[in-house]
Amino acid sequence: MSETTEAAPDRNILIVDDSAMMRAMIRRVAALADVPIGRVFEAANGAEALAILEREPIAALFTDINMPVMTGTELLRVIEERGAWPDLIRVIVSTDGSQARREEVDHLHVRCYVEKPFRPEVMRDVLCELSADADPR
Amino acid sequence: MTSSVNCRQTPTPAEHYGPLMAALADVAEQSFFACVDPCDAASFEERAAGVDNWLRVSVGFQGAFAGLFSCTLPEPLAAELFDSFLGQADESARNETLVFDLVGEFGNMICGTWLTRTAERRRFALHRPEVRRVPPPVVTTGAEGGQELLCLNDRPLAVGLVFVPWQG
Amino acid sequence: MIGWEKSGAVPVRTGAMGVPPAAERATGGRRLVVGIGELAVSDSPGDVIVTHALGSCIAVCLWDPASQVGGLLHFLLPDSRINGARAAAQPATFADLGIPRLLEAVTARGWRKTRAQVRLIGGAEAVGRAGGGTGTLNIGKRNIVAARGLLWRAGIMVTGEDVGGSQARTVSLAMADGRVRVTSGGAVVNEL
Repeated sequence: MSETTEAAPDRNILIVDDSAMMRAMIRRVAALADVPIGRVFEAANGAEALAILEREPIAALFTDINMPVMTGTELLRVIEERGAWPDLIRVIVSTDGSQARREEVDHLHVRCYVEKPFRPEVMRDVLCELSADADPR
Repeated sequence: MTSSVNCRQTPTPAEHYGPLMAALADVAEQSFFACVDPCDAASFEERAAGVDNWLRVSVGFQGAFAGLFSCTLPEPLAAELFDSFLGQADESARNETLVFDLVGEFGNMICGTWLTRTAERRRFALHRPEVRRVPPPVVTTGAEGGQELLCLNDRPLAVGLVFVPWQG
Repeated sequence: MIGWEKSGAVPVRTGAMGVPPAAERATGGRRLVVGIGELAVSDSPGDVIVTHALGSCIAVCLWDPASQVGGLLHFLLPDSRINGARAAAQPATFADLGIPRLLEAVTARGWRKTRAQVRLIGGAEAVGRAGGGTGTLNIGKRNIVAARGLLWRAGIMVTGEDVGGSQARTVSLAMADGRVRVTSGGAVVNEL
């Protein structure tokens, strides 16, 4: 599952959510935001996401937590353990914003925690912030 | 009040409907650009009349307390929510799989938002939403009815909440 | 060049519902006053578009830095289905008819949504009704939600808001730089 917008592999993003509609919504925000983005990849769980990470250059990962097969927390743990993607920007997009859950991912280098529901502008702002950091001109 | 619920006690739906309705209103406004209104039984039945196709999303949860959240809505409302969520009006983009997915995510967000606020310090788990077709809901009134009647985009919506004894 | 987008079917009407936006000569440009259920667009850098006494109403302010085209809509209610006669007579009274007309009007003059500044102002609740309870009409909140949703459907995201609360607001949109100034009780309370 991917879509090419322009050749900018250092700007590829990966959206991980078991809801196809949520993935589509985030994809639309990415398309509308005035931010340079490469290819947008999608995965329905952590295991699918890992497979994509292993074969594609990904700059930023947007992951849900509560998913079948492999949860977002498990995915982030594997990423941390392997140490193969030190520059990967990790963003959680979850309906579970509890303090307990936030503490659970605290040491997993999560850059940003977006709670569902969110307005499209919230995700746009996250994308803009990440883009500005990546291209501080 | 809600955050102080003892994890060994089974709470009653009545004490949780307020926070649950607030969560539903926030989900509706932020992600679906729709406003929620209360609805009495007569208004609900009036709006439900003639609507044959209904969907129900059920989300099981466990944590400080365990139970089942459900939300029953007419399919035309599901279609409206689909369009507003994606910000599109292309009827051909809708299919049953995606509409079910959307209704599942709607239920997931309501339940997760409510539990995040209610059990702030406690971990909770949400089961995968189950969406299925159901017959038109039978309207029951009073707290014993176990459902809250609402109106969303001028269409009927019934929310149910059931707690089960803690299985620790 | 100034473009008036009268929202009524009748070109010029009088009375509270149909007064055309007033233009006053200001330094280097015009001061275009938009009433309830009206909209105005401009591509003249010297112009300032103003609307007064926003309560639960919303001002939708658009400005494109590339073309320097902008526009302002002052709508009253979210949904035109509530009053078909008024919707026909003055469609910009309603968000669902007014916002598409505003977008058409500015787009025709070269406004483009990429990098556009999109601001929403207003949506207050009358004192005693604020709080967002489900037992009140909450017109202000409904207007805010409707405007956001209609813009999202149009593929446009909001870049700034000053909404809610209980105070009446006056808004000005400067065509020179797209700055939106919000005043209340005679004092500037926000700049977007």
